[in-house]
Amino acid sequence: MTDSDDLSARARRLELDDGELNSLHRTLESSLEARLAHRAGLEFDAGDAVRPGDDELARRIVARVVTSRTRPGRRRSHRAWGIAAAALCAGTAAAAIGPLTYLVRSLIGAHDAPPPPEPAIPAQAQSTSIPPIRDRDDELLAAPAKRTDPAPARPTAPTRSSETAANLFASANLARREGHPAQAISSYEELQHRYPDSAESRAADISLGMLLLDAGSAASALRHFERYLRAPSADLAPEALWGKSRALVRLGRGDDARAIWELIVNRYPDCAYAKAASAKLSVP
Amino acid sequence: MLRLAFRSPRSDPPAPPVRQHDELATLADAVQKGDVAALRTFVTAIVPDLIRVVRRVLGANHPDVEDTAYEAAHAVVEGLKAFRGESTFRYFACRVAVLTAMNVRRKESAQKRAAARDYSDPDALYENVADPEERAAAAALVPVVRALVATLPEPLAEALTLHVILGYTVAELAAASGAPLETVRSRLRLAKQALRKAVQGDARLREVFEVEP
Repeated sequence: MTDSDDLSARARRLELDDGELNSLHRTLESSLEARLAHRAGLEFDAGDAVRPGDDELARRIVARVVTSRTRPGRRRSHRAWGIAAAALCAGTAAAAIGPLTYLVRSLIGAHDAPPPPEPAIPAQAQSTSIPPIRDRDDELLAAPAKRTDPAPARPTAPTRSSETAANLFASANLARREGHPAQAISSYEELQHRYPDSAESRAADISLGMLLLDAGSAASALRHFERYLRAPSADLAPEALWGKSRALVRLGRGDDARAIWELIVNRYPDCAYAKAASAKLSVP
Repeated sequence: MLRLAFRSPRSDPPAPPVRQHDELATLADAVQKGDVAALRTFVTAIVPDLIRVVRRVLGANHPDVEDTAYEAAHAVVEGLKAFRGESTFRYFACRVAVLTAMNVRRKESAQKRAAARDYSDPDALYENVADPEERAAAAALVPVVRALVATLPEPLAEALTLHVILGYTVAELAAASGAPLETVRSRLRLAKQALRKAVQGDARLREVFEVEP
């Protein structure tokens, strides 16, 4: 008897004959778990689509790989080495998942071995995280943060003449992840200036809000969070609301912040910020 | 320049392991000998699959799709010297992409949980804002599966990813993980149980899929 999991996988490749299809349908009718897994698989298959810009995306990735492997004195990041280790282990049929996980984590920066039960936040990510909240007043209401950090060394940014909203968004995200907040802010702001109606511009409001908040520009941050929340499809509303509450606190508007926390707790009780918001509300 | 071979929409899942002539074998040999043109051609050939795999695991709108696909490509090339031909190169590349994307997903989940525990610093949450497509698809299983990939024990997460997300059969899953068939079946059974429990724990999904709590 053919394994029902195999029937599901082969059905997704349109490989089943009529008899096998009937067998699959009987299985799906009788097993909730099989039905859910098969349905989920079909959803993933339906989500595949070639998107505008995919060719350019692929070309960028190819160029990055070739550049990184051919330029003189090339230096690989810790993360690349860790992932390379994953590849080495993936190439051996006898590799076990546990040692692989530990090896990858240890190489990408979670140096505090032994392997934790949950993936640890790697040291590299910690060093590029948003700096602690500063208590100084908002001094930079409209001006972007000063550029004190060097630009990323990796030559991955597209040329100005070929930049699109997607490229600018990607560049800004890269700068943010690599710990260059000033450059990230600049890129996000350029994105919003040049492509104000793009989906990337809308998504950038939250990243910009958080970056500006940590740069001491609470009022500017608040404008970005509020603009995001005004958008018709504010899919990241909890994130924007949390950011807004932080901005309001920084601006001395504690009562308004409490209203936001209540909104988070009541409207988005399952979101990642609900617990934090509830804790804030418990403090008079 | 080779035409970048993206497949049409609703394409098949990434190539399963098939014991047959591997069209990338010659290129891979040349890459290991330092042939830059071969390197470009090899990476060009596998990148569409890597992007597709990463998008399935992280979400098409995830801000780290490009970086994750790049790291997977880099790792594939690095891993060529150790690859012993247990599968085709394309399949090997897809599995590297799965592991790379899973790692990103699991780190994000850990950061979110850490931020939720530490009320004084939930700022890290913004680094990992949920994929907009996931939040918009309120009644879909895709976000449920992606969440499980981030939280299940790794053997189960890999089984779930390779079977449900990428559509591998049990035999293909066993070949990928190097585990016996019965072990793979057991992992898959537990992963599907976790999926059922996740759906049963969500009132909205219970209603949509007509599931008893």
